[in-house]
Amino acid sequence: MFNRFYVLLSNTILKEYRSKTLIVVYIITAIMIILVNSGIDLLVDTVKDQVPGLDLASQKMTAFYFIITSWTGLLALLMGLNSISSDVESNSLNVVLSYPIKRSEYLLARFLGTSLLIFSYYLFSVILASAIFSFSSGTFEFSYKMILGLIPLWAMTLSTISICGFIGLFGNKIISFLISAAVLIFINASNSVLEGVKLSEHFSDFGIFRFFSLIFYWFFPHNGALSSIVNVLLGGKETEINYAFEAVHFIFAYAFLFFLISFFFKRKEI
Amino acid sequence: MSVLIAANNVCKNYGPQQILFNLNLDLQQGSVFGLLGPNGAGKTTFVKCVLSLVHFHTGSITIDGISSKSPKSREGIGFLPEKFHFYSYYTVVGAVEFFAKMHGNPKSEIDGLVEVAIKTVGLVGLEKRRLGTLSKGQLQRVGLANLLVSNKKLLILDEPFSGLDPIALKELKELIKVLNHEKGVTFFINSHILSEVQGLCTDIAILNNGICLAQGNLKQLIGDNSLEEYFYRLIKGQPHVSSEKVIQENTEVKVMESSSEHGTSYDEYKRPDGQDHE
Repeated sequence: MFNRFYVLLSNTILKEYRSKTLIVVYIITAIMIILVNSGIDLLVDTVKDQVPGLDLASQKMTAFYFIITSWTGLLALLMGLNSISSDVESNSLNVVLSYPIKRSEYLLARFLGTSLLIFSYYLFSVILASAIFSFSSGTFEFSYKMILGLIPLWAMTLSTISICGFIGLFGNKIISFLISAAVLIFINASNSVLEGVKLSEHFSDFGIFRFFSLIFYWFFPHNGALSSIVNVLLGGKETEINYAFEAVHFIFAYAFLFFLISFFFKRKEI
Repeated sequence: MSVLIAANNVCKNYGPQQILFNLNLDLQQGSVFGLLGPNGAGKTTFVKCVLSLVHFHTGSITIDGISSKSPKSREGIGFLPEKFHFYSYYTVVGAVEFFAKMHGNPKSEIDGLVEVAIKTVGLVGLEKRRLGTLSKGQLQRVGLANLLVSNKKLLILDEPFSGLDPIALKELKELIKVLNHEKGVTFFINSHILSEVQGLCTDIAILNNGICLAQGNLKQLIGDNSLEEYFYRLIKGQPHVSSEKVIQENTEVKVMESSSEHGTSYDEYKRPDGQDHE
């Protein structure tokens, strides 16, 4: 017998795959990687005699990680906005919810499925870039940290999709996009403001900005911190991050966020 | 016969507008039940309440003894909305496969069920076509295939006759009869096409402005009248028609109250809040 959750999870992946959007994004990414690689190689060849000691080739992967992580964030926002609202717009939601599944199961299947799609896209990009960079200039060195870096990336993607998926249920696409972007910026800003600040100092200089910073910092997943962890693990940058705290915080904050989204979604009339 | 759907004093508002008012309905197992009413009577809202797609404010609905608020209550239900839509990029066979899996059928039976369903609804030759390229009637047949792969004991059809061509209409009615007689499937049909209901339904309820005006065995309710005549006079409050509030009790049609010698006028059936959302 088929597990309905699994069927919905597969349906989430299939509906994006069959809509061809992701395939177009894959193709664009492959072209982008080839262009970045060729462009930097050309630049290296041009300036290597003029500026002795400049090592542009080693920066290739770092530049690529920056571009691809930013692009993945944008993709998570766009696909998150579409994850539930596309069901509403296509009038398929009443059919899907007439099956004996809980609304929270439906939400989880949509969010997990979309995050897995974006995760697979990221994995594809990293593997392709690594292969091309390695083949063309030998600048790629494999590290186990690259695998570890995929975990915070997936967590960041899942929380982005969940937030945007929920916001996408209310209002039109442009307004939902702007609100989602604003919420994500607030989360990142709150992470920057309070990262490294001692708990005892969280309430110092208390004002309206600090009030909202605290709410976003404590009640929403730390996307900003997760992004930093990804850069640390993939790009080799060094920053002071408490990994254990971030892992525990993500679990509780995401559970709270999902509970909140489910609470409102259960009350939504289809 | 046991009661499959039991609605007790169901009230539903959309903002200040009351859509269902103290609605009581009983659907007997094995029947073909027609919920009739003019546009805006609250028929689709009631179906959505049964499926928990919208939330009613007071009262209760049970399906086979389980509260409609529990997803388990939908284990035995198949649903065809008035305008069936599904993801346009699915092929016919892909969509029906999805439905068969969502209904929890064993993996080994999926292919057989899909094949039979597609054949039964007359979509042979269109299996590889995408849903986005199908006509409205063909899409509705895909919705019917969703019901056929369900193996459920209760099928809810919301305005199933609208938008179908005469051939599809005849085939749908035949299908309902076959499933009801041979497999004992219970049908709950929302409709305002009275001519189709009269030849198909065993029991009816008539809804207007969220109030149930009459409920019971079709033949016993309408007597020598045609359903159209009975319906019209009940809604419009014309004389000489038993427009009393009627409920069915142990298959007997029971007159609960009579408002006047000549029946009850339409105005008297306005909701207590005095609103009319038509």
